[in-house]
Parts: sequence; C-alpha cells; structure tokens
Amino acid sequence: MKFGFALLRLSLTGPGKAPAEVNFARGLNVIAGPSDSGKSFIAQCLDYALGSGAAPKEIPEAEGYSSIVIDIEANGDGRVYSLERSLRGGEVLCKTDGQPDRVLAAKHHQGKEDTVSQFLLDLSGLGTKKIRTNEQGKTRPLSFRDIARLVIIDEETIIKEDSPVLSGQFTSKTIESGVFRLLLTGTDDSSLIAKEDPKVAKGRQAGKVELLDGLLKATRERLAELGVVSTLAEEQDRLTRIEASIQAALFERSAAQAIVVPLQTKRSAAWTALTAAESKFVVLSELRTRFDLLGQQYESDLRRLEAIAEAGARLDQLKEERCPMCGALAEYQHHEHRKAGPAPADVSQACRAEAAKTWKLLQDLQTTRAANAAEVERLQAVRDTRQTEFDAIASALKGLMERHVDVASKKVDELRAYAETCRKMIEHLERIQELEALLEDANKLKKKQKTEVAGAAVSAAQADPFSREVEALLRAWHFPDLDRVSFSENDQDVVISGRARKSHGKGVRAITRAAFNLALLRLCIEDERPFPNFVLIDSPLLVYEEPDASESSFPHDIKKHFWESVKSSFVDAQVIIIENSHQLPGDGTLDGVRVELFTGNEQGRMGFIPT
Amino acid sequence: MSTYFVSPFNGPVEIGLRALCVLTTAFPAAYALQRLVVFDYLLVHSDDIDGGPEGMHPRTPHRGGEILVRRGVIQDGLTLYESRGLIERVYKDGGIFFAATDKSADFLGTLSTEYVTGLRERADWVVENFDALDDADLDMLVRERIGTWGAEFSMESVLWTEEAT
Repeated sequence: MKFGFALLRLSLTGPGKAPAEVNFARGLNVIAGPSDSGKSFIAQCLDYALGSGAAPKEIPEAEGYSSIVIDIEANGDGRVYSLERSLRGGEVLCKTDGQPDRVLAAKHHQGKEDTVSQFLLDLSGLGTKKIRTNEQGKTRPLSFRDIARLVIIDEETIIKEDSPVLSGQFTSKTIESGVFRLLLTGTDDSSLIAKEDPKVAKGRQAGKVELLDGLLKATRERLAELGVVSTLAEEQDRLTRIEASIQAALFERSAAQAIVVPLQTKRSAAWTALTAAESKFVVLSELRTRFDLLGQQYESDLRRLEAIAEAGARLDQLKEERCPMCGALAEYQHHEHRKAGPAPADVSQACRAEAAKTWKLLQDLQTTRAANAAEVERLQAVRDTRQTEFDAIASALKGLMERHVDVASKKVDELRAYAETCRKMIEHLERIQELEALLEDANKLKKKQKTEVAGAAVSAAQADPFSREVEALLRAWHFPDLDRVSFSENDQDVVISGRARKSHGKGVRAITRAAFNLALLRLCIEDERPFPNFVLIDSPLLVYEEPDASESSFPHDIKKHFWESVKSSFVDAQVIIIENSHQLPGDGTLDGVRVELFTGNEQGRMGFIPT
Repeated sequence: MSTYFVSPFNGPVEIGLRALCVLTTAFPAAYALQRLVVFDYLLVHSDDIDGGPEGMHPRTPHRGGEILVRRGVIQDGLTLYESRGLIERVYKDGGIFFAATDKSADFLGTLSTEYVTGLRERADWVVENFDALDDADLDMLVRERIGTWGAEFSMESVLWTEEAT
C-alpha cells in the first residue's frame, strides 16, 4: 500500500499525570465501552491531533492533561512519526527518528508547506491536489480538513440526514463535491481556469445583447424595404417555385427562338442575294462611267485630230522664217540639223488616218455602252427586287421576334428579378434567425452558469464503481431487502434499493453511513488511489438498537455480519470502530481483533483516562 | 518622212497651237515657259477650276500629272511655231519669255475647226482670270490642287477588285 498511514498509538499526557494511552494495529480495531467511558473523547483527540480547529470537549477526567501525542506509521515507507499538540491549541510538533524535529502549523495555509495538513496530505498522496471553490472555477489547494470529514466520523455525524460527502453548509458544497470526486476519480480541479467574474461577464453580456439587438433591428429594416415578407420557409419555397418558372420561361424562350430560326436563315440568304446584286450593279455602273469617259476621250480626240490636221496643213503653207530646231532666221540657217521631228504636213496626214480609226472605235464603243446601259438597268431592277424581298423578310422577322422571343425574354428577365429579391429576403431572414439564436444564447448565459454548478457535483456515472462497492458491503452485511445501490447526483448520496438514504430512520442511516465511508476506503485500497487509508467510525450500530417507527421489520443479525465483514475486508488498512460494548458480538467473531474494552467499573480498564 | 512613229497628240503642232492661242489672246504680253505650262493645263481642263467653262479634254484619272511632263513638248511646240514667225522669243531681265507676233491672230483666223474655236474661247477665260496672278501665286495654285485633279475616281480600286473575284 503506497498511500496513507496507520495510527499506532494515541496518548494524552500531562505533567505529573499517568499518560492515557490506546494502541492500535492494522485491520479492524474496536474500542468498546459503556457511555461516558471516554470513547468519543478519543475520536475528538485524534481529530485534534490531526489538525482540527476544535479542541476535544472538556471532560472532568481530562483535567491536568495538557498534550495529545499520536504515533502514526506511513504506509509508503513504514516510517513512524510522532505528532504532539497542546490541548490549549498552537502548532504541532512532529518527530521522527533520524530527522530534526519540525514544527507544523495546525492551521492550513495556502502555499505553506510546514502545516500538519500538508504533512498528512503528502502521506496520503494528495499533496499537490487542487479543488474548485466556486461556480466560476476558482481553485485552492486541497486541505487535509477536506479529507478528515470522510475518515473520522463521530457519533453525531453518523446519524445525519445529509450526504456523507456534504457538511450541510451550502457555501462549501462545491468544495465538498469536488473532494469526493477527486477521491473517486483521482481527477482534481488543477486544470480549471477561473472564469470571469460574474459582474464583468454580466456587463459584457449586456453589451453583447445590445449589439445583437442593433444588428437585428437593422436587418429587419432592410428586410422590410424589400416588401411584404413571410417566413423563411415560405420564402425558400417561393424561391424554388420562381426558379422552376425561370426554367419554364427559358424553355419557352428557346422554343420561340426556334420558331424564328427559319426566317433568320431566309433573311441571311436574302441579304447575300441583295449584296451580290448591289455589288454587280455598282461595278457595272462604274463601268458605264468609264465608257462615258472613253466616249468623251474619243470625241475629244477626234476634235483634236481635226484641229491638228488643219493647223499642220496651214503651218506647212507658211515658209520657215527660222530653223524649227534652233530658231535661227532663214538667212542664217546652216541646215546642219537633222530633222528631229516630223514636218507639220506629215503630222496633218497622220491625224486624218488616226481620226478614221478613232471614229471606228467610237462606233464600237456606242454599241458596248448601249449593252452596258441595258445591263445596268436590269441589275438595278434586280437589286430593287432583292431589296424589297429583304425588307419584307426583315420586317416579318422583327414582328415575330416582338411577338414571341421578346415576350419570352422579358418574362425571363422579370422572373430573374423576382428571384433576386427573394434571395435577398432569404439572406436577411437567415441572418435574423442567426442573430436571434445568438441573442438567445447571450440571454441564456447566466442560466448556463447555474447548470455548471451542478456539473461540479459527482455524477451517477462517476460514482458507479463506488455504488457497487457500497452494494457489496451491504450485501455482505445482509442488509434487508437489498436490491441495487445507485448514486444520486442531486443528493450526492447513495440510493439503496431505490430509496434515498436520508429517507430512512436514523438507525439505518448510521449503518448505511458506515457502509458509505467504508466503501470509499475499500475503493481507494482496491484502486490504489491516494487516501489516508484509515477510517474511524463512532457508534455505527448503537442507534440501530432503538426501534424505528418507519422500519417495519429489521433483522438483527446484520450486526454479526457487519463485524465479520469489516474484520475481513480491511486487513491492510486501518478501521477503528468505537461502539457501545453491548453491540459487540459475544460469539468470538472478533477473535484476533484488537479490542480495547472499557468497563466503566473497577473490573478491567474502567475508561480511557486512568483514575 | 514616216520612218518613225508619229504621235499626233500632244506633239509640237498641237501643243504649240494651244500656246499660240494663249499668247495671241495675251498679245502683246510675253509669258515665261512655266506660265505657259500651267495655262496649257487650265486651257484643256478648264472645268478643274470652280466656275470654269466645260473642259476640252475628258476628266481622265490622274490627269494632274500632265502638268509635270509637258514642259519639254511645249518648248518644242514653241520652237516650231517660232520657225513660222508666229511666236517670238523675248529676252529680258527676268529670263526668256514668249509672245505672239502680229501674224498670229491672222493665222488662227484661218483655222476653222471646233477644237480651235473651243481653245480660243478658253484662252480668253484663262488669260482673263489668271494673267493677273504673279508667278508665285500661280505655283501655289498648282501645288494646292494638283493632287485633287483626277482623284475623283475612287471606285477604280473597286473595279479592279471585282474583276479579280
């Protein structure tokens, strides 16, 4: 066993007083005796030596005693420590062989190592654990006092209706549940990061709500601008319908376009024909211009030839006064020039011949011009016909387009515009939905924090192995009508056979309370979890003696099985049961168990404190 | 005499005749060669000038170029008519000038063809309208318009394209 410690001896000392001592062994220890024999005082002394803030109740017998000393043996290394504390309070002196004495503060201090709490937690393997202290997840280091409640159960506590886990104080509920969960699961709260202070969070939340409200309002206004709006689902439905209509309209438009296609082909052909006719017409018209020009040329040439011939002849009749080459007067001419050009007479003659040829050409040209003119006239007619044809087709096409295609196209455009508006509405509606959800979340924030408190409690699932441990113990004790044992998250307590533990009478409450604490010890032993690994229970059976109105029949052999079970189940650990001597079995069940019996009279040991 | 080709058109006889018409109208003024070149063009293409009389020659394409190639032929024509005493050469400070003689008008009076009649009418028009222009203004007039004379045949390229296809 790695964790925890066992109590070897408890003694009460005082100057000039014989020490009051009790020795303990591993396994089951029983301290029995009648009332007022100092049994419960022992429990108080032990708790005090382990750092409790409450000193033992003053009893007359204890007068003159000043200190409590306990010897404990660490389970890990077997080292024995002696812890001494004055009854008047103060620190705890810790002694062990081979090491200097240490003074341990009785009170637990956060971050301070020399405290009895830290010392015992270290022995229990719980030295570094942290525990949650509030709803926001603030944590503090674990204290041994958190654990002591679960290992030292006095005679008043044992009959309480509250969960064994809880002290009954509302403010410490979070801590207590946390401790229990730590023991059950080994998981502490050191990983928790403290949440924002609720006031700050509240301010932030208000800002968030305001912002969301603003956005929501703006979006709603924009939505209203789009016209009459129904719900998101309806708008989505409408969009689907519009899109279907668009498809239909597109189909119609393609059909309309198909109607127009033959006419378009016709128009294209007519255009080609028109262009061809026009081109020919233009070319021949140009040709006619050329013919006209050529005619003018011929006529001009004829006139010129006539004039040249005449001028040549007249020139020839004039005698040369000057050399036609050098312009010298006749009397100075040397006639050495070769004639460079023809004589005017020759020119005149040539011109007459040329005129005859030109005249012939002009005749031919007149014929050609006439033919060309006729062709031009014909082509003009053809072109005009083609133009008329083309105009007719174009006009028909335009009409058809206007009647079918344009109408269909317009419809498509209109539907697309509707769809666009619809999409915008959907977008806004979705945004509104989103914002509303966010707003709801923001408003819910506080509630959510409340539920997180419950989250700090131990859940039924977490406690399931523990519940089965309780069930096993109760079964061993022959608890009447035992069915299943479960854990109530709400009560943080066990439910036995479907009935809450607290709803039982105090006799049953005491026994089941013992079962609760012993089951925790057993679970920790079996799973080798950090735990002090000793439990002291004061009077688990005594009240069972008294008849309880609400319990109809209650078998008494449960006591015998209780002793047998506890004796055999906690051999390695340490269980100290303080009980009225009447509750002890008389049949030898406790053979081999260390039993400290106070008699309350002169026979044997009268009580804890010697008189 | 017919051993070489005789081109009747724009030969010395014809061109000289046109120059004689101009100089006879201008008589007794004497013109420099360049002025005679320009006036020869204006004489036959009088309709290239706004408000001018109908042209003696058809409006053939690119006819503006004629003005650039006539200089030599006109000189030959002037010499031919000079040899018959119808034109005389005048040497002055400004260079060589040509003028009609007192026989010129009588010579032209013997010619009866339609062409010559037309030429004389246009010679009157040319001298009347352009005699006053000095040489520089005349050059300017030609330079400004030479590109447009005969450029009205924009469809020529179309004609060729149509034939090719």
